[in-house]
Amino acid sequence: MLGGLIVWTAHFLVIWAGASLFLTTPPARWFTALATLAALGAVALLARAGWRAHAAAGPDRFNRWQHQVSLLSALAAAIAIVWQALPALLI
Amino acid sequence: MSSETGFDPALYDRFPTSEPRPEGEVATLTRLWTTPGGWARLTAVNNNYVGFWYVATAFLFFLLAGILALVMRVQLALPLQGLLPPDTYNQFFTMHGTIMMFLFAVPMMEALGVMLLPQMLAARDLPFPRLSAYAFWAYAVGGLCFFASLFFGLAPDGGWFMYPPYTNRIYSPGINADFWLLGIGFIEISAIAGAIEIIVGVLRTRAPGMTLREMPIFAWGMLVFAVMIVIAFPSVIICTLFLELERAFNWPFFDPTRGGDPMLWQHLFWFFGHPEVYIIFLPASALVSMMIPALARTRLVGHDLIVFAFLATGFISFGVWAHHMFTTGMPALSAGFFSAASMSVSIPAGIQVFAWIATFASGKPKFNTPTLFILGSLFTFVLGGLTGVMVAMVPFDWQTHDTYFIVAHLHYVLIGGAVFPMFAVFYYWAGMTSRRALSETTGRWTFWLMFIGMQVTFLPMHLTGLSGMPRRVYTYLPQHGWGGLNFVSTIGAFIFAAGVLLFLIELARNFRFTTDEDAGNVYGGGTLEWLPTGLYSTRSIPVVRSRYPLWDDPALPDDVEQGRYFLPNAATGRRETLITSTLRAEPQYLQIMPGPSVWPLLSAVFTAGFFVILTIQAYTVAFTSGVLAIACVLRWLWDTDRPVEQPQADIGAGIMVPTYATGPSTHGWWAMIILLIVFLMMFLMSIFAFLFLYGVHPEYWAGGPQRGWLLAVLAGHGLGLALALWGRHLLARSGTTTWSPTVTLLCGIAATAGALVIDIFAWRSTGLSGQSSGQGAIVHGLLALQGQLAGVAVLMGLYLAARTARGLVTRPRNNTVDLVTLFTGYAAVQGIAAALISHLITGGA
Repeated sequence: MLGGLIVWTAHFLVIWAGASLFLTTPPARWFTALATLAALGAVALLARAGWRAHAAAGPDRFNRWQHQVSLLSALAAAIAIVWQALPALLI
Repeated sequence: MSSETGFDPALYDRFPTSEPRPEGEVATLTRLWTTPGGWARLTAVNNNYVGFWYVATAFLFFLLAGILALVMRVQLALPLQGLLPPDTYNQFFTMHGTIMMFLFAVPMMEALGVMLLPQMLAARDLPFPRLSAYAFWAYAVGGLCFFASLFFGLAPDGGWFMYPPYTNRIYSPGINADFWLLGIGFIEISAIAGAIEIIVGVLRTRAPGMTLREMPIFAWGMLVFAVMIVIAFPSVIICTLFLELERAFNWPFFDPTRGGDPMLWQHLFWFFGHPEVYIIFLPASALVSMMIPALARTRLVGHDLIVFAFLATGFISFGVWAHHMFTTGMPALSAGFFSAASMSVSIPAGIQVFAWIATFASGKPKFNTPTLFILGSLFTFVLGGLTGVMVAMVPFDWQTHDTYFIVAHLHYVLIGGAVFPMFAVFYYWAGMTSRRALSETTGRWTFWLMFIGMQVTFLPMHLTGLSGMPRRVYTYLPQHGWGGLNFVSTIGAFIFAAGVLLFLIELARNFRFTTDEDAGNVYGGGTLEWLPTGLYSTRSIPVVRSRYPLWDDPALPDDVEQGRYFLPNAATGRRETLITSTLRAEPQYLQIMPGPSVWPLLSAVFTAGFFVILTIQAYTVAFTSGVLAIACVLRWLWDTDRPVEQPQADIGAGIMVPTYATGPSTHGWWAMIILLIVFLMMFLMSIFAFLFLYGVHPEYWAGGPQRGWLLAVLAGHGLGLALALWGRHLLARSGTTTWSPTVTLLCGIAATAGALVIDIFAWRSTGLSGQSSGQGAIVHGLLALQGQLAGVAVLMGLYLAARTARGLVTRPRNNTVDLVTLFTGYAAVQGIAAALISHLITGGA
């Protein structure tokens, strides 16, 4: 259920650490881009797993709900990760 | 339907039962759960009493901090006023902020959790009632002593976030800052104790069938709230500990001339301080989400989205702390990341606001007092949120940082996000705790006075701030032109206070506390707290099949009252509640619960005494108080972890569950794991501090001890870990006595403590002391943390030995052994990590 949000957190901490080490330099931007691609890949895997589990959940209301929240978490995290990385392009 | 624990969900179909219940069951429940009268009532641990006292005390602190605000407003009403001298003004604004954040807002939310959660979850009580009582008394006694410092001119005066260098020994030479640093200590302990209680309570004591999907939204809010406390509060524990160590022993954590750095304080403080805002807002918004369906007479729109919004807020709020530090010269890219995160945290808040508006729009709301307070809250909070997005933009923040614009913003957020909802709560749930409901007429007057007062006070402050008036100044010159706006703000503050005063009069007129003859479900809520209850909570514990069980099954209250569901009696003849599984709330075992006791009260008094007396530097008395606090805690624990004669009990309809359980599925194990997460967070924050100081001032770092020392330390901790695990294993092995595991565990504890002693000698051999440099300070800070763990492990070992001597250790499994093993194992692992980092990352190469 929390997979997407955990990926967002890890991505945030990694790009912040990158900016703290490399300051506002091209290496920091490349580092951010790489971390963002990796995070988006992880979120895509989570979303696919959530989608499949949701489809296979059957009539059990709780199972369906659980996978629905997982899917939502992954999709929202994807948007948040892109948003979070935008400053590396804009600043 | 699937199962989580092997429990057959088809068994739920046996309920409601149809057979008549034997007579005398209610009388037995009433007798078992009754509280003592007279002064002995103070030893009560029932959530009804403790929760109510907790709410009342938190509200008292709201009033006291409000009075301080009024005096400050009079001082600022006109330029060059002389009501408060500068030093006293500093104490007033520091105490106002500190009390509102630490003694009102967070405790109020925990108090509402303690009061409402057991009823909402249909549990007999939260799983550790004595812990709730301890948390309350430590907070109440310590908080009142802390407030009293104001009368002696000793109150803290460095602002509620106590930035060094203002608060170091040079610029704050008195004991005022120590009052804050040590005074916050008991509040931190109280908050963490309450958080552990709430997490375990929400996840393990829900009514059967109440899966996470059906769980009331307030329980979700409190769960995220409590987890956030567990993650955030260790950070403030560490920074207050470090600053006090700097002040007391001259360890330069924050002194840049010796390898420390004041920015470290800001990082550590705001890693706690900004999530703190959401720690306050989330439970309040969860309460709003509970009230709106009843007030709008329809189901909550977007229930699942709101749950997701809680979770998202919980995560994102830990990625915004540095937006309080935009003006400190941080790298532009870092500022950009924090700016983006700060803007995105408004999305989950927006989801909730739109869900509330949609619920009102799709229902048939009545515009009664709670509805008015909620609408007022919506309006005010949205305005505060909008200015929040403004200050999340770095260039704007540069202009308004530390001005009255920020004061206006934070009051819009906190009053809109927490204070107005709290008043709605008072009106909505008064029917659960009072014989008479509160008056609608005076309620409307209260609302309009508070709402208008709020806007008149704080709306002009945006302009005051944009005109350049800095916060925390005790006066200003007439030519600045801020007089008119300040005068209006002062009038508004008194209008707001008139609303609060009217509410107090209303309480005196109509509020009559009760535990069983309450006014009832005045607003027609559909959740379980409106079932008929006594001190034992509900007569029987229902099977929950929907989010609004009272709306979907109108016969439920009667069936519950007639004992047609789970646990209609006291199956073991003691206080007990049902422990259920985490995801699907399937019955697992019966928890035997403790009754009234003086020990939580005494241990809380001595805990508060330890911190408060330490402040005035009466060290002998303080440490005596600390020892007494520990003795009282051990005495209270002595009665726990004892199996009863019946290994199994019938919890209704012939369903049998164990009455004693051990291992990872138990509530005690869960509580210990959460406590260890607190220690882990303290350790991680210390490691952050270590790396931060290493990165910022490497020139102050010297070489470490010889490698041989490191190997000895690692060997000691490794041995401690191995012996702890082996000790637990021995308990189940035949051919051993109960002393075998105990002695093995004691040896493990001795090995870990010995490794710490070796580590101390290792650093002594380098000549590095705590006073030498930032490196010396942080290395000795890590050693102090390890010493704390070792001290607790030694106490636990001695306690286990005492229980073994009295034959209280059961075989093949025992909770006390499990918990001592967990703690000792954790202490050893942290010792290994600390030694590796501090010995391998050094300077002077």
